Amino acid sequence: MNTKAIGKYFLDINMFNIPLSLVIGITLSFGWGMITFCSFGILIGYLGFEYFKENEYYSYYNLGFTKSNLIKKVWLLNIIISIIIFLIYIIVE
Amino acid sequence: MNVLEISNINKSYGSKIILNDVNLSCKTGEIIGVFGRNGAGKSTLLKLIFGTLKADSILLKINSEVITQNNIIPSKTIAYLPQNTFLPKEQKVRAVISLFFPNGDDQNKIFYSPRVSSFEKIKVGNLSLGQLRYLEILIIGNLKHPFLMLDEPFSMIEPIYKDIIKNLLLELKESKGIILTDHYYNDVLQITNINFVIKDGKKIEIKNKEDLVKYRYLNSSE
Repeated sequence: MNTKAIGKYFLDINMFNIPLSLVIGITLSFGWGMITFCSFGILIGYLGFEYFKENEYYSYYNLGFTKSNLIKKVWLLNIIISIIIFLIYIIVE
Repeated sequence: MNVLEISNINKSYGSKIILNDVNLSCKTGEIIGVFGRNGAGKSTLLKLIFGTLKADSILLKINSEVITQNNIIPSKTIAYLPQNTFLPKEQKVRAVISLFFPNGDDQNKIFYSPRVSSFEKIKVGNLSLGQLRYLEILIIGNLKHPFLMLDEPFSMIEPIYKDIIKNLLLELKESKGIILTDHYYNDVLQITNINFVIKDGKKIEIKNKEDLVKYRYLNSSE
């Protein structure tokens, strides 16, 4: 599996997601920030990528990744990251 | 040798029929040229084969095995060059090459290709159109996919890169089947072994430039 390509897509999606999740986390609560990071924020990231970098999907298609395949991977990674951050938060609290 | 067979391609937008029962096949060693006026359905045909556009009907076979449109991308059997550039503009050429080829030996094949050393440290967004198109074809051409589809590989390219791309495609056809479409018919005819025009949704096989006139793709063969 081409982890570099997945990593690039992960960063590109979260480039839009992280600022949004931070704003939600600061204005509402830490928990809502985390929930946004692995749900609605991914949708915003996806829409941002579609709008600004749509043609780059052909790089991924040529590497054998479909859109749904990529989104599932990002979603899974974000859930794992959220759980880890949440556990660290609970321990520190 | 690999064989790609596509049959019963139908696609319409509302009442407008774009492709009407088109069939074609491509095998290793062939370069197929597809001509047609703007809106005739050339790019649509390639997108249907690649699976990024849903067909009204299509039957795809690779080496006699049926494959659905949805499985073309995951199967890594067809590489596709879209009309617009698809490489990340903010990255340097070196980084893009390693993105596609994690393996060092595969990367070296690209790095040691003609002219790549002259632009490998430049950002993709700063490449000339010729360099960019050449790099894109070099990258997807060196993937292991047995088939290659190119949508306008010669469009707006400076002559020196046109020649480099033509040589590259002739080299690639030794191990791949290639389907390409472009309005630069002289360049296409120089490297293809089979050509056809799409007219009124139908595929018409042509032999030479005179046929392009005959089927109203060109006004005259001058």
